[in-house]
Amino acid sequence: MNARPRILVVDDDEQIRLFLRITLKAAGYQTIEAADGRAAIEACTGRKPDLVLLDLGLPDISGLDVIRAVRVWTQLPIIVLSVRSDEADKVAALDAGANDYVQKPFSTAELLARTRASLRVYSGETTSPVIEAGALRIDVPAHEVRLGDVPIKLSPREFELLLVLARAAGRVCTHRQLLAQVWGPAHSDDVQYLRVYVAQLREKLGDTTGAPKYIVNEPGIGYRLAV
Amino acid sequence: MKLPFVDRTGPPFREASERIILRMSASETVRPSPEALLVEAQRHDRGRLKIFLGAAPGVGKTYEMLSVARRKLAEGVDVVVGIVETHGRQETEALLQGLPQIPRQHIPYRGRELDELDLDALLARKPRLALVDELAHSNVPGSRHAKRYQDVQELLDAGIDVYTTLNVQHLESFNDLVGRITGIEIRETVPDAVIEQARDVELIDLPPDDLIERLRQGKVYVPESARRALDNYFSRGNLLALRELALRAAAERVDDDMSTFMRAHAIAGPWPTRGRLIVCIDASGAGECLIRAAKRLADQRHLPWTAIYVQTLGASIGAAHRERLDTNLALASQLGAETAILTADRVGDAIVDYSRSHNAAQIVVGRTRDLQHRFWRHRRLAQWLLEHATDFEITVVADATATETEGQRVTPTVRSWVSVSDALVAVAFAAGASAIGAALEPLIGIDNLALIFLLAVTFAGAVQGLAASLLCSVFGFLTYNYLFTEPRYSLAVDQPVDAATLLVFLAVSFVVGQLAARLRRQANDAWLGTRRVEALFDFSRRLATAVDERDLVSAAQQGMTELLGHRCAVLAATSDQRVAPPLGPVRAREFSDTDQAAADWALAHREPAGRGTRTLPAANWHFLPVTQSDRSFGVIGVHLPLSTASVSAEDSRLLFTLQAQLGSAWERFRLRQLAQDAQVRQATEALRSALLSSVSHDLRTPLVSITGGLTALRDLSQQMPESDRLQLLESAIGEAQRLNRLIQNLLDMTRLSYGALTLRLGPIDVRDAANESIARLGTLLASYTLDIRIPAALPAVQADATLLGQVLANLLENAAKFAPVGTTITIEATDLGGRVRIAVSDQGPGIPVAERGKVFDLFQRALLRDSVIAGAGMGLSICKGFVEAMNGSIAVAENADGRGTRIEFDLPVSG
Repeated sequence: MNARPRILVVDDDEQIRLFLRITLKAAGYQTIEAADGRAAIEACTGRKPDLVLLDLGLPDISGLDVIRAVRVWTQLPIIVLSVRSDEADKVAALDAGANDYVQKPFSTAELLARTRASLRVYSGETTSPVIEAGALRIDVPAHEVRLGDVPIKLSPREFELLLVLARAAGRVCTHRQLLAQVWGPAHSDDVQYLRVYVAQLREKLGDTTGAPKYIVNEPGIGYRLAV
Repeated sequence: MKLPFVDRTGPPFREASERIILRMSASETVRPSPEALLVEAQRHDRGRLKIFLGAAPGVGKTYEMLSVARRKLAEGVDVVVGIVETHGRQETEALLQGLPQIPRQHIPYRGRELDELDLDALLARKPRLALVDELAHSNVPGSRHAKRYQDVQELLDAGIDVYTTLNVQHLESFNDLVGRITGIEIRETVPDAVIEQARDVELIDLPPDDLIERLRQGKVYVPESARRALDNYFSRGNLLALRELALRAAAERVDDDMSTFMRAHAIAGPWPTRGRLIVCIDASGAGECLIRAAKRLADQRHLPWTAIYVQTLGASIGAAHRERLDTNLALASQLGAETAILTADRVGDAIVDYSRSHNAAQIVVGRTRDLQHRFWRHRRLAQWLLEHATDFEITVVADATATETEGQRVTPTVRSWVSVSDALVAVAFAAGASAIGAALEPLIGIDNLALIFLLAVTFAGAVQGLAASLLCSVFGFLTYNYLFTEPRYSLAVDQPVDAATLLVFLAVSFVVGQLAARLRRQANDAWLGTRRVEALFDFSRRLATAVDERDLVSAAQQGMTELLGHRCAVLAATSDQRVAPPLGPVRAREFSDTDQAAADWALAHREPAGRGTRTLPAANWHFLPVTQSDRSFGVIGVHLPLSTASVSAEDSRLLFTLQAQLGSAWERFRLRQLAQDAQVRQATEALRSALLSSVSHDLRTPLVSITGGLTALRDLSQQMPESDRLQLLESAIGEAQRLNRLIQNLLDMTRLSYGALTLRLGPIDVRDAANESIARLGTLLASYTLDIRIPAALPAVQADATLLGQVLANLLENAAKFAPVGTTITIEATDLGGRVRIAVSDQGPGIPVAERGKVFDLFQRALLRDSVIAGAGMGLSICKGFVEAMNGSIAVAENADGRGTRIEFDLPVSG
């Protein structure tokens, strides 16, 4: 990986591209830009970006089509930038292969945090045997979870769920993705399972206050392990 | 105590079948099966069994049996009581008083003596009718038969009629079911064959609640030992179930009777028990009485019914009759009958054919109704039907108003008896025959000449009808007599054979004439019928091709006017259930307030009103409501000349038909309208949500740059060079202005769509307005070359400065949005004389010709969602609204070089 990761910014609004260009540069990234979907796909093939910030509402083809096209040959992280308040669009994008989404308008800090999280996943850091997320420490081979110094006892299923969330730490995982990975593809619509297990996990992590610290709910979309 | 059911399935059916049996046995054409006939015959020789069937103990079977027996006794029938259990009930015992009884025999059983029916004594006594209670009873061991029903068999075999009682749970086939329902096992059963054998089954029915009440009052005998079990047994649910079973048993019996009968008479099934009742009505005043009688009969039997009227071919009836017929048909259909008008040659045959093809069971006819009579006979329709319609139950209804009835004495309308043309034809044929006769006389001899005259008579009849034929026979006879018979050249008739010739001539001409006349009448009727059908067909075709309701109304109006020969108007109902005044050719003074009132009344009451009716007869119009499926769509008005008191009966009928056609066409339109409205609503809904999401997109996009830029400045300002910081700030400011413009546009649009726009029109200098808009857009236009071509001598336009500025700003913003940076944006103004045209053009991608009409559409951008054109929609639709508010017009035009976008609008010159 380059010292300065290269980020492809795809948005038809020139002012947004301008602000992203300046911001990302200041944060230490290189940027390349595309104003529409076709240019975006071209840039993905030709200029090998390390991450894509993709607007869903593009003038020529939809952002969703861009994701599908890109996912044919590469797993490079894609963060969707969407002004749509329609949850279904985001879920569709995430299920099509986007790694995360940021809802417009967003703060620079939020964008950069997501960008870092996605880049980290892609660079393979999370395949290490020990995953740390804040005070949470997961030893994968030992099936051991610690919160600070306190060991937490989890059932195999709870552990599996936490592991999936932790591997994508900082990124949203859709209900469907979680269900498919933990319970298997046949259960990918049984959102109720997920609610129960997330509640149990939160209980065990002592995360029962009004605003969860670890497992954050993304209404209508999925869950995210906060980092 | 008894259900009406009993009355329907018991004796009446019996009588009906016997009536038919008599007829069928006289007939040679059907060959019944021998076995079935044997069964039928056995029924006659053996004693007859009548079963009083009940659902449970206590419904009153014995009571009823005794009552019937007492009546029989009173009629002189030899009735003897074999055995009847009164269970100490006083009412029953009272009935038993006075009926001769056979003493019971006492049979010793286990140290006790039990009472049993003395079968031998009864057989020896051999009464006509024996009463044997409780058919299911098991005899005391030591009796001749184990079961009482076997005793009964013996009595029947001996030719003694038996009345007996039975509860349905004792029937073998129901026993199991009853056991399951009531939880009580019943050991005493009777084979179903016994009930099948029964000549009559009378169902004694008592509603469960009444029975329970009787039980409570101790009126039902229950042995002490069984009391607890029976308490369960007499629950309401059980009783309802048992009652149901009893009804079913009785009903099955009826079906059995039916199938036995059908087998016995070689009638191929299936034969639905339910049929139809046909009432034959006519144009007489007695019709109402007849129709009401038919209604009662149909109700009693729960049969659907049809009122039919048979119009004989070639006959026409007077207007008064026609009107009464219409009234009768209307009454029938009001009372729930279907109605049919048949056209046929023979009334009787038509009725029978119709009844047969419509599966009729019963034909109802008035007593006084005449059958169409031929000249040699004259009969009552009822009499004819009784003789010929033998496979139907015929009910002849006496009518109270028989004396005043005119009956359907159908006489052909007689034109003036003899016309000139008849006479001419007669003379011509007679003369022709004479000439030919004279020529042929040497060849065929004088005796055969009569045949030639006969031929002439026949032809005259065929060509011209009865009168000509009769005349021809007279002329022919006279000429024949004068020219050819001895003494020649005199009219003297001295031989009887000549008289015979005359008679033959007359007879032939009479027959031929009748035939010819009938033939012609039929042809005429057929022609008229065809004409009418064609006219109606044409009418419905017109209605079918109407494209909208207005078209429908005018098509109907025109069609009716042509068909009726009176001016007709179709008046649609308004939303407040009144009638809209007539359209088109009907002038206001011909449609008075009275007419309006009559039309409204007709609509509101769904009855005819106006001239010729009892409501507002002073009106100039006759109104008939157009209704369909419980909805009124409007009224048909017929404008009648002052000389005409009412719509003729014939027209009235036609009008009714037209009304029905119009009603259904109208309903079709309404339904289509509803479907369309629903579709539009759905589309509007979709557009609205698309618009909402689109607006939210537009509002948030500038916020992305503003929020993002400002947070980057806050968090990362150390890491970025000064130039970048400035650029972020500039961008944020620009986007804030863009947001402001968007919000302004939204507010403007709201003002436009709520009609809240207040104009301050005044003379405005176009150059000033343009400069102000350019200034307002600020840096947005900085990277374009502006070419402003406004002549110095341009007159001021009459406009609102703010609105005009907004229009120009929107157009310029759009241009800047789509045209590539560095190109030229042109503002042009031209004096058109009285108006000024202002154009804003750019060198951008342009708008495809197909899209040009739509870009001003408020929803256009919504439809395009996020595509390039998208952002333009709201601005352009606001431009259109503003320009039109200032009495101008706006359109997409073509640039001289055919490239880019050019929007032109014009405004009136001030002053």
